[in-house]
Amino acid sequence: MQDKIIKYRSIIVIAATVITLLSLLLVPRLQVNANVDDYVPDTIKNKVYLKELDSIFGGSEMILLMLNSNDVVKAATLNRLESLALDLSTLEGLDRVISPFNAQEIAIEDGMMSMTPFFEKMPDNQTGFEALKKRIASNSMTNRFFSEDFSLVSLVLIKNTETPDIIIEEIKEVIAANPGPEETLLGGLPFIRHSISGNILNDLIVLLPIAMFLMVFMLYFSFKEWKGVFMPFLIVLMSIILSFGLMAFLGWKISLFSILMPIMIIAIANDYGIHLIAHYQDLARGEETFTMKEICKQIYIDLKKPIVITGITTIGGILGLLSHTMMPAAELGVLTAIGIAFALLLSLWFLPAMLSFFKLKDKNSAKSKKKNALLDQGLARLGNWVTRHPKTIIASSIVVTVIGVIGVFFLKVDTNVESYFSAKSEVGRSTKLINEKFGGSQFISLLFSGDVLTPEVMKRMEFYEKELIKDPAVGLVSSPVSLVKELSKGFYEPMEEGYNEIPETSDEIYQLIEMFSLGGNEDDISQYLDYNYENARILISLKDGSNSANKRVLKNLNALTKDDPNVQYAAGAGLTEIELADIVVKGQIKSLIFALAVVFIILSFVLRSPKAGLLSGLPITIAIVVLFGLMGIFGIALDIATALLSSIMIGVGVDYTIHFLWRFKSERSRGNDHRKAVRITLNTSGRGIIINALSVIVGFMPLILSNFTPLKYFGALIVISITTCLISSLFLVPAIVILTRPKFLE
Amino acid sequence: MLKLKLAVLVAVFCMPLMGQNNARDIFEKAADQLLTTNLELSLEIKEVASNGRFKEKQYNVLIGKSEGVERTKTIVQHPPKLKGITIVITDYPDETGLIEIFTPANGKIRKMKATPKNMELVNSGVSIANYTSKDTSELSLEFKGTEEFEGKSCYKLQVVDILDLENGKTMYLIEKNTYRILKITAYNKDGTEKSITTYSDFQSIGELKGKTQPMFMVNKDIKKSKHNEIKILKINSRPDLKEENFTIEPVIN
Repeated sequence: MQDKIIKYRSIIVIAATVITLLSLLLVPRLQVNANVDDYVPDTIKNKVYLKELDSIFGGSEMILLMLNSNDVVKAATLNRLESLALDLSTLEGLDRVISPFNAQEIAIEDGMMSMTPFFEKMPDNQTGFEALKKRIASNSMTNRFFSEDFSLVSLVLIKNTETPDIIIEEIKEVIAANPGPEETLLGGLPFIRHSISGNILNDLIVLLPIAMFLMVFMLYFSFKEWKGVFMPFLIVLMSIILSFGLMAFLGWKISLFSILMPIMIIAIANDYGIHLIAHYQDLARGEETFTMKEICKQIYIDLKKPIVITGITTIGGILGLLSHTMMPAAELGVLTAIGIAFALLLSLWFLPAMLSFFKLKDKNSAKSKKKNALLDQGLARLGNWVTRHPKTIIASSIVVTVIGVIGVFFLKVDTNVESYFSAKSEVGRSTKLINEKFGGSQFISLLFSGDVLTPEVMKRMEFYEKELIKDPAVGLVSSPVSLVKELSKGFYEPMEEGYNEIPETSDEIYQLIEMFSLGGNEDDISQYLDYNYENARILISLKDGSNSANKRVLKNLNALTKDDPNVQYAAGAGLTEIELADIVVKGQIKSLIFALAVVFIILSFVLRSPKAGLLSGLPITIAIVVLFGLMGIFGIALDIATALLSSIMIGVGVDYTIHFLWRFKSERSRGNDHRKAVRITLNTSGRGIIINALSVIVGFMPLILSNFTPLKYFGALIVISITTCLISSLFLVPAIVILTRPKFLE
Repeated sequence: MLKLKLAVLVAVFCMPLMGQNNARDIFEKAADQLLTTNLELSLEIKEVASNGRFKEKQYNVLIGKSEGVERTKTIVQHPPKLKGITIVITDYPDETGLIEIFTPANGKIRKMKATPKNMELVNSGVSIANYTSKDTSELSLEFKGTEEFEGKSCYKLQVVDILDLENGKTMYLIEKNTYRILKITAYNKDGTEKSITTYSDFQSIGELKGKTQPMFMVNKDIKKSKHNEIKILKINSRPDLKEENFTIEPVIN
C-alpha cells in the first residue's frame, strides 16, 4: 500500500481536494436551529400537551419587554411605553400586545359603573404620581406590569408558535425607533432561543479561528517545523469542511451541539497527523539515512495499525452518541465520526503523499536537538519514577477513584435553558430581573376542562392558587378567578356582599366574563379561558426554572389536584426540561455503555485478549469516575453539553493507552524486561502521547470563551478529563503492566 | 357591544351621508335602498376565532330616533347563560349619553356615561346612531374607478371621515346595476388592511317599497385572523318606536 501511496500521490492529493471543494460548495446551505424544544422528540408527553394548550388558548409564547430605571412611574417613561405598545401592535408576527394601557379600572362612582382605562389621565405633579403608584399596587390587572419597587415596567408580547423568533429583530427596531433614557431589556423563551441562535454563530465565528490558531501554535511549538504545522492543520480543515458539507447535504441544522463538532475535529483529528509527523522527525533525525519518499513509506508501515485502531476506537466512542434520544446529539456523533474517519484516511494516505513532495530537513538542526534533549530528559525521569513506585501509583489511583465515586452521588442534572447564559450577559441579566421582579418567565399551565365557570371550580382554583404560591420557586399564580373578582367590583359596592368575590352562580360568572369580552377585552380573557369557556387554566410562573424546582412544583400540583375531576394535566416549557433531563441521563448511560463496549470489543479483538480490552478501558473508566465525581463535588450539573463528555472522553482518551500498549508490546518482543520496556515506551511513544493530549486540551480550550455556560463547563471539564486520561496512561497503565505482567503483551 | 356585531351594518346605514358629486350620487342611490332607523332586527352571529373555534349568539335589536335622541336596545337571546343581558344606549344631541347594562344573573342594572371611551368599551363607538347624525360635509368621497367583484362590475369609492382622521380610509365596492354595497375594506392609518366586509343575500323589505337589505355579512379582522358571520333573521320597520320601548325590564334568570 505504501508504494501505491507514493506512486499515485498526485491522484490522492487531487481527489482529497475535490471532495473538500465539493463539500465547501454545500456549506452556504446550512441553517441554524436554536430551539431546544426541537432537540427532544415530538412524542414527549409534555410537548404534546403544550401543542394542545396552544390550540386551546392560542399563541402562548411570551416575550417580555421591560423598561428599567430608578422610577418608571413618570410621564416620560409611561409615554415611551405607550408609544412602544402602539408601534409593536402593528407588527404582523405578534398576536397581541398586553400592556398596562389596556388595563381597565372598574368601579362604581356616584351610582354609575365606570370602566375606565387605567392610565386615562396622566398626573402632572409628583404627588399625583405617588397616588398613581398606590392605585397601581391595588389593581390586580395593572400591578403585574410593574415591579414592586417601580424600577421596572413591562409589556407582554404574545407570539404564535409558528412565528419565527427573528421577530425579536423587528422588536429591537421598534425599540430603537422609540429611544429614551430607560434601559430596555427583553426576556422570555423566544428571546432566549433567538439569543442562542445568534450566539451559536458567534461562537462558531470566534471559537473556530481561536482553536485553529492555538492548534497552529501548539503544532509549531511541538515540531518547530512548518511541515509539522501545515499537514495536520490542512487535514483538520478538510475534515471540518467535509462534516459541515455533509450536514448541509443531509439537511441537518446547526444546533447548540454543532459548535462542538469543529472543535472536536480540531482537537481529535490532528492526532493521527501528529503521530505521523513525530515519527517522520524521529526517522529524519535518526542514525539511518532515508530519502523523503522512504520516510513517507516507513511512517505509514510503522504507524498504520495503531492509528487505525485508535481511529476506530475514537469513532466507536463518538458513535456512542447515536444511542442518544436527542437528535442533534446523535447527528453530532455521526458528523464528527465521519469527519474523524476522513481525517484518518487523509492522515494515512494524503499526509504521506503530500509530505513526499517536500524536501528533507537538515539533520543537524540545533533547535531540534535542544528540544529533544529537554523532552527526553523529562520522559526519562518519568520512566524511572513510574518503574520504581508502581504500588504507590495504584494505591493513589484507588483513593482518587473512591473520592470520585463518592462525588458521583452528588451529581445533579439541570437542563434549564436560562442557565445557558452567564449572569452578566444580556439574557442572563433580563432573566434574573424577570425572575426576581416579575415572578419568572417560565410558565406551567394547569388545565381544567368541563363546566369551568362554576363557583365550585372557581373556588378550587382559588385554593390551588393560595397553596401553590407558598412554594419559594413559584413567582406568580394567576387564573380566571382574579379576573372575575376584579369584574365584580363594577357591579357591587365596596361594602356590598359580592364585591371582589367569586359570584355565587355559574350564570353570573358567565355573564361578567362575557360582558368583559364584548368590551373588546378578549385578549385578557384568552390567557385563561378558551373561546367557548369549556377550558380554563391556572398559569404558574416560576422564578426558579431549575429541574429540581420544576419537579417539586409538579409534585405539589399533582398532590393538590389528584381528586379534582376537572383537572386534566399540567404542562409547561419547564416540564419539558424535566423530561429532557431524563433523556440526558438515559442518553449518558446508554452512550457510556455503548462506547465502553465498542472500545472493549475492538481492543479485545486486536490484542486477542479480553484482558487487554479491560486494561485499556480501566484508565478511561477511572477518568470518567473522577470527572463526574468532581462535577458532583463542585456542583457542576450534568446538562445537554456536559452529558456528551463521557463518549468523547472514551473516544479520545483510550488512544493514549493504545499507543502505550502497542509500543510496550513491541519493546517486550525485543527482549527488554517489563521495567525497561516501560522506560523505553515512555521515552519514545510518550512524546507523541503528550503532544497528542496537549493538542486535544489546547483544541478544546477555546470553549471556555463560549457564550454558553454549558459549553464553558464542557471546555473546562474536557481539559480535566483529558489530563486525567493522560495521567492514567502514563502512570497507572505502566504500573499495572509492571505488577500484573499480562500475557497478551508478551 | 352593538358595534362589534353590527359594525358591518354601519356602512350600509350611513350611506345617505356619503354622496358627493358622482360619488355622492352613487351613494345616495345605494343608501336610498336601506332602512337606517326606527327598525327592529333579529340577528344571528357566528364568531369564528383564528383556530376555527366559534361561538353562536342571537340578538334582538331596536334602533330608534325621536326628537334628535338616538336609542339602541340590544337583548341577548342565545346562548341560554347570556339570555336577557340587555344594553341600552341613549345618545343625546347636545349632552353625554347613557349606557345601561342589565345582567339578569345578579339582577343588577349598571349605568355608564356614554363617553366615546365607554362607547368603545361596549363596542358602540361608531354606532349606527352616530353615523346617521353625521353631516355629509364630514365625509370625503372620491371616485376611484370600477372593479370586478364576484363577477359583478362595481363602482369603487374611497371614503374618509374628515373629523376622525385617526381612522384610515375605507374603500367601497357598489354594484353598478343595482347600487348594492358588496364589499367594504377598511384600512389602518398606515395604509394596511384592517378589515374586509362582504354583503350578500339582498332581500326586499316587504312593507317598505324600494328598500333592500343585505341579510348576510362576513366581517374579517385581518390582524387577528378571525371573522364574524352575521345573518339577519328578521328586519322590520318600526315607525311606532317610542322612548318606553327602550327601557330595561329586569327579569332575573
